[in-house]
Amino acid sequence: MPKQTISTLILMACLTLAYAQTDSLLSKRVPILDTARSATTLQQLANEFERIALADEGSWLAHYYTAYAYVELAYQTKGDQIDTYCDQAEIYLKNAEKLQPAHTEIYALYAYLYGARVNVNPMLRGAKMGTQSEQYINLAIKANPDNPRPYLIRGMGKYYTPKIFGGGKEKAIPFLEEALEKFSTFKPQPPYAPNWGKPLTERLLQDSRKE
Amino acid sequence: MYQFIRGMKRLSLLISVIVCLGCSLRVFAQNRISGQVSDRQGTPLIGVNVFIKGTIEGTSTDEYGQFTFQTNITGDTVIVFRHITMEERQLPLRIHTGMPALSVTMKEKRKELDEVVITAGDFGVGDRKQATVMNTMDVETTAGTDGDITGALRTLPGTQQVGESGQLFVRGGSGDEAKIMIDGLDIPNPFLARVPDVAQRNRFSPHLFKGIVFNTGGYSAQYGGALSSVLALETNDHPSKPSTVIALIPYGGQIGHDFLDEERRISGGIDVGYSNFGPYYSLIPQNVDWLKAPESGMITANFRKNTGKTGMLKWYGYGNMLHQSINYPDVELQGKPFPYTARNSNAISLLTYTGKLNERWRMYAGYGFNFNRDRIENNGADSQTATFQHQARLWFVGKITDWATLHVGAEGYDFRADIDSLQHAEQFRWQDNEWGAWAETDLRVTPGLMIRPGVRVEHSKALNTYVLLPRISLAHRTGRYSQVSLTAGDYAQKPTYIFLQSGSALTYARATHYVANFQYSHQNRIFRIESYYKNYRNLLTTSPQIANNGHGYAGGVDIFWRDSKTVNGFDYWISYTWLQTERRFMDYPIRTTPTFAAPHTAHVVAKYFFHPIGLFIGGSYSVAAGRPYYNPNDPTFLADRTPAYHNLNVNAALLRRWGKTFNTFVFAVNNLAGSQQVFSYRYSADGSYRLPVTLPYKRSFMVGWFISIGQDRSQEILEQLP
Repeated sequence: MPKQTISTLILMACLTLAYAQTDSLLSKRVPILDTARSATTLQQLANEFERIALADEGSWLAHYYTAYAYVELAYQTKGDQIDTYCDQAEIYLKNAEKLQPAHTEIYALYAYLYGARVNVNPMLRGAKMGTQSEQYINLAIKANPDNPRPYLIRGMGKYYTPKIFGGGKEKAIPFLEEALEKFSTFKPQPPYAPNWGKPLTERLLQDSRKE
Repeated sequence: MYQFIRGMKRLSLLISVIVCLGCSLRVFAQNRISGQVSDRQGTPLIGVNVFIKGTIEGTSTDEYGQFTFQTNITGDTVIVFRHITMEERQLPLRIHTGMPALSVTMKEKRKELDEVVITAGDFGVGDRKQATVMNTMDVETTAGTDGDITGALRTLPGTQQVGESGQLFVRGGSGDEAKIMIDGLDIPNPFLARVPDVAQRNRFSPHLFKGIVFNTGGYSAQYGGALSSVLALETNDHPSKPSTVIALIPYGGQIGHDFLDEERRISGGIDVGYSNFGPYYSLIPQNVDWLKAPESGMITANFRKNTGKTGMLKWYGYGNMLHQSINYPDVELQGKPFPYTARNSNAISLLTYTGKLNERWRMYAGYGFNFNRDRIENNGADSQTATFQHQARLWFVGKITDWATLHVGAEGYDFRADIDSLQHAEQFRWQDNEWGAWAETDLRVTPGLMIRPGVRVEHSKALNTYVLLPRISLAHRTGRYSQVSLTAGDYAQKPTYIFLQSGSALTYARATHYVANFQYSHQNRIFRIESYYKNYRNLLTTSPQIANNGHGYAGGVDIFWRDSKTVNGFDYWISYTWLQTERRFMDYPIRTTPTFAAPHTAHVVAKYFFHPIGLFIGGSYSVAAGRPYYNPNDPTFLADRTPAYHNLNVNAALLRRWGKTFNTFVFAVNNLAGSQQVFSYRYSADGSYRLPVTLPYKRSFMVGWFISIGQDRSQEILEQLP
């Protein structure tokens, strides 16, 4: 066989391997997401998901998780850098949305992302981007009322809004409780589909009840 | 079918595993790829995604920018390097055993926002812009600015503290040499009507605007008719929610409602306000003897509609009536007072359309109408002046190539003034037609270098002449967060109609600006230094006769530093203005420093927001060297100087939400230290008697309650300080 044909064959084979691998690759990494909190780990995860997304462009979950890791990074940082991470996240989230339109998890992640953007300047952005986040929460609930994440994001919004602006930990409790209830019955399908947020809900709820 | 696909997938997995096993057998051992990634300054880059193109094999760089990973793949590959703020790099690499470590440099990503923009002369006020030094919130929360846009801009370098006037005096220019426009359309009477020696506020509330660009010199060919400065305001787009707002202040109240249709394609609003300073002045002692404290009624409305896919139609309307009267001391009669009464009516209508013509071209069309009527009763010399201005403006902007953008536009004015000297039944009518046209191109030579040449032509029928005004700007990125800008250009301004109707043959006053700017901005810290030189010719002179015999220069350095990073929640800025200027104009017999120019001006503004308890506190301190004033006893014209100017202001706001209402309580004191601020002296002609021109109050106090229903508009409320 000519040499060229062999290398083409090998390349094709390796690419096929990559596609088939996506599922197993995602399954391996998704469970760590809830525990990864350091910027270094999150960036590594973002890079790994990005590699999967670039190798298998048809996998909406690979794009989704890349976006998710960048949103988490945005929550770990301050100032203008929040926007840099969110811009990156939005690129991948839009890719995911193209592959899987009107999906509850994609709406929920948009809501989570706009929540992060508010942090750049809560006084200046609270009204506009808070409203955008709220709109995505409603869309996410409408697409799947059993999804716990929109309730978590709503609860989180209340949790971090000072009492005097109509927020407060007390007001967060009913939403966080609802989220937790939904977490207990929520079964991600496939198993490596989004299922993040339970430990965060528990932590916020525990803290809210202390007050 | 699904089962079949799964099966096929498994089968292909099996095959590929076998094939890949085959290839790894061919090489036998794994190869290691390692190296270091840094930026062009040599700083290691952390978190770079390093991988073999088309595969998932790769890793991330560590805190030293280093990476290492093993692979089974051999032969010709491409290694990809990706980083969030860097331009992607691809490196061809033949993988074999015992490869040396790679050393890779990455370039910064070329983003729209990171592209160099011309900052010389421009102060931007907005959320996210290169030349941004303030946001609209700052306009509302800066102590002592009274929530006045022009007041807030006066804490920026390049402006003068001229306490007896509300106008902007920029870099040695008079108040009439700064022009204000909204959505590209001129506002010839942007300030409330005044009585002598009492500063007036600007008419517009800052919460109307999403963008403010204050240019202190060297502005683009798109703007004309101003010798020293342009303040361009851009009105809001659709609100995020419908809402109602109520404002209660010691001297009046205001109520407004904003609506928004469900599809967010149509929105509008209306605000009605009434104020009467009478009760307030009876509580807080005033230095001015008010016969009739200012009483006014105001109405504003706006409407916005999306048209087609990209078009936006906006209308803004404003109406105001104001009546006030003072006992004004006559210096010729040892300060014997006589009544001075001012009544003003003002109406504005601005209609604009912006939209895309196609993928490359955008357009703007605007029509502005301004009406103003002043009726002055001044010790028996009464007069009424009404002015009408119509303006039409049209421009197009298009991407010619990836690196060149062309702006072309034209505007025309129709102006009429009716002056009625009420006693003598003398009436004048004065009219003019003007037009201006411009073209300019943004040439992006490299991402870090931009050149903007432009030219503007203006013509006035009354002056019966043309002016040709070439302008050029350049911006160059000098570092990751720093840049320099240079700009030079010719500017012209028509004398006001009061002089034009004298019958003398007059022409445009002219100025040439040269501006050099350096700016560093990174993570909520900004430093700017700007130096300039301006040369004036054909300035209007009124003595010995009305002519264009004036001339002069202005030069100086403006420095600005703002830091909201060092201490969380604490934000401050410092500005310093150094100004040297001389001019002969108006009735000046010689070329000298004008009355509105102090050599040194400095400001410190600080604010702190206690977010958890919703309390905002702020303070500002301004200091300026004395300004020249006219003393007939001094043989040298304008040789005397007023004492130095000191002004200390504080403000506080408490924000509360009750149910669906957002409540803001505001407290502010201006001139807290009660400093005696002398702006000038008025002398009798023989020099035997004088009166100081001072603040109309020793201290001013403000307590206000603002309620907004539906939407959190608390941020736009703080602005309505006294």
